[in-house]
Amino acid sequence: MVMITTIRTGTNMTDGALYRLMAWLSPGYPVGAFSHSNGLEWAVETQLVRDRLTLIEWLQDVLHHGNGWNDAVLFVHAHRAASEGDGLRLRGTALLAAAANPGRERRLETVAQGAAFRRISRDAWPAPGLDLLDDIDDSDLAYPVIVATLAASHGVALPESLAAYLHAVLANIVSAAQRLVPLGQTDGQRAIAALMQDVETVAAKALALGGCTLAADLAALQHETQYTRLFRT
Amino acid sequence: MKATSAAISPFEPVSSSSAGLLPRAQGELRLGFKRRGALTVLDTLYQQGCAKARLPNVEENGWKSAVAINTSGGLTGGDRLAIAVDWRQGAQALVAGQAAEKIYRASSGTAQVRTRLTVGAAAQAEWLPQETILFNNAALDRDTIVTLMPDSRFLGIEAVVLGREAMGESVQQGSLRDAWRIHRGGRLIYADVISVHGDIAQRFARTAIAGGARAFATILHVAPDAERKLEAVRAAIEELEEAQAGASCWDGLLAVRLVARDGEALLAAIRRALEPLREGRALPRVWKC
Repeated sequence: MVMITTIRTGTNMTDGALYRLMAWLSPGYPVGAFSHSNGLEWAVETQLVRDRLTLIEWLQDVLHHGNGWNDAVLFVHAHRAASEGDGLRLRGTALLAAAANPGRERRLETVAQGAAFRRISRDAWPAPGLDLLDDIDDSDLAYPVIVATLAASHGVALPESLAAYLHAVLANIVSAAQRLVPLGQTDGQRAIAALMQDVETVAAKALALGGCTLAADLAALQHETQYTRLFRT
Repeated sequence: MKATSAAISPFEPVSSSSAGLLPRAQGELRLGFKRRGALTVLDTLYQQGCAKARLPNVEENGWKSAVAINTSGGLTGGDRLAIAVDWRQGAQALVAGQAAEKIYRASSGTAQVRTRLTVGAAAQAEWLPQETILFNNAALDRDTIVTLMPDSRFLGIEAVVLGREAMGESVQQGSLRDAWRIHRGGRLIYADVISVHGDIAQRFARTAIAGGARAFATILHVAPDAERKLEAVRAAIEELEEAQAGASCWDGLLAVRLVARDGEALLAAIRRALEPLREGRALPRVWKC
C-alpha cells in the first residue's frame, strides 16, 4: 500500500481546498467572465484608465470602496449562512446581493456569472448545500453568493475562498484591461502583484464583520459614489 | 424573501452612539394622502418638534402637494429627524422640501434622518426634497426606505453638495452615510449605500470615486412602464455642460446618477433629468429657479 503524506501549510487549508478553488475560479470555469469589464471599458474610453498605474488606482477604489467591497461583505455572509445550513439567512443575503446593484449592466454582470456558476457546479461539483438556494431564480443569483455557497458546501474555509474570489474578480478586470488599454501581459501581472496587499486588507476587513448580524452589516455596504461605473450603460 | 422585506418602523429608537447628548433639534413629521373622488386629500398630519409641513392649496393636474420644513434651519451632530409619508390607494401627491437641508459641523455625534415612504396600490408619489449641503466636519446618517405595491408609481431624488464653493466654503473632512432601500410587492428591489468617512476631499479627488466633483445626486423612478422613459432621460442628460450623468433601467426601476463640479451645475442637471420623468410638469415652486 502506498502511503500518502499530506503536507499541511499553516493556513488550515482542508484537503482538496486549494484544488477546488483553483478549478472554480480559473478563467476556464465557463461563467462568461471574459465578456464583462466591470465598467472598465468606459473608463478606458474616457481616458480615466490609461496605463498600469491608473489601472491599479482604479482597481484599488473598486476593491476598497466599490463593488469589490460589497462583494466581499456579501461573500462573508453567504459563506457563514451556508456553513451553518441557514437557508433563510442565505436567501436573504442572495436577495440583498441582487438588489445592491446601481445599474442594469452591473446587475447583469453579477447574476449572469452567478447563474452560470450554479449550472456548471451542479454538474461538476455537486453538493447538497447548493439546494439552499433553489428558491433563488437565475436572474437573482449574484456571483459572490453562489461561489461562497459552493465553497461552504465543500468545506472550503472562508478566508481562503474569499481571497480566491477577490483575486478572480480582479484578474478578470485586469484581463479586460489588457485588451482595452491595451496593456502588455507582464504589465497585467505586475498590476495583479501590486494589488495583493489590497485584496488581503479588504478580505481581512470583511472577515472582521459580525458573525450573524446581516442587518447591522448592511451599514458596511458602500458604494462611495463610484458614479463612473454607470456610464457604460 | 420575507427575511429582507420586513417593515421597519420609521420611529425605531435611533442608535445610542449619541447617548447622553442633548439633541439640539428633533422632529417628526407624518403625512398621509388619500384619494377622494377625483382629488387627493390630506388624511394624516402629525408635526412634532422642528418638523413641519405646509400644504399649498393649489393643485396641478390633480396632484396634491406638501412642503416639508425643518424649522431648526439645519442639522448637526445629535439632531434627529423622522419623516413618514403614506400615499394611500390611488393618491397622487408631491412632497417637496422647503429649502436645502444644511448639515453643519458636528462637534460630536451624528445627525440622523429617517425617511419612510409608503406608496399604496395605483398611487403616484413624488419625493423631491432639495439638495443636502454638507459643511466641513458634518456628520450625517440618513436612511430612506420606500415601500411600494406592484403598480405604484414613485419618483424620488437625493442630492448632496459638499460645501458651497461660491461662498468660500470647502469641505475637507466629514462623515456621510446615505442609504436607500426600495421594496416592491414585498420584495427588495434596490439597496444602495453611499458611505464616506474621514478625508472626503481626498476621496472625492480619486478618479473612480468622483474625479474631483463636489456634488452628486441619484434620481430613482419606479413604475411598471419605467423603461419607456429611459431614452428620453438619456437624451435630456446627453449634453450636460458641467456635469456627467448616466441612466439605467431594469426590472421596472430607472436610476439616474449625476455628478457635477458644484451645486449649481448639479441642480441644472437635475432639472434636465427630471423633466421627462415628470411629463413636463413644473418643478415645485419652492425649488429656486
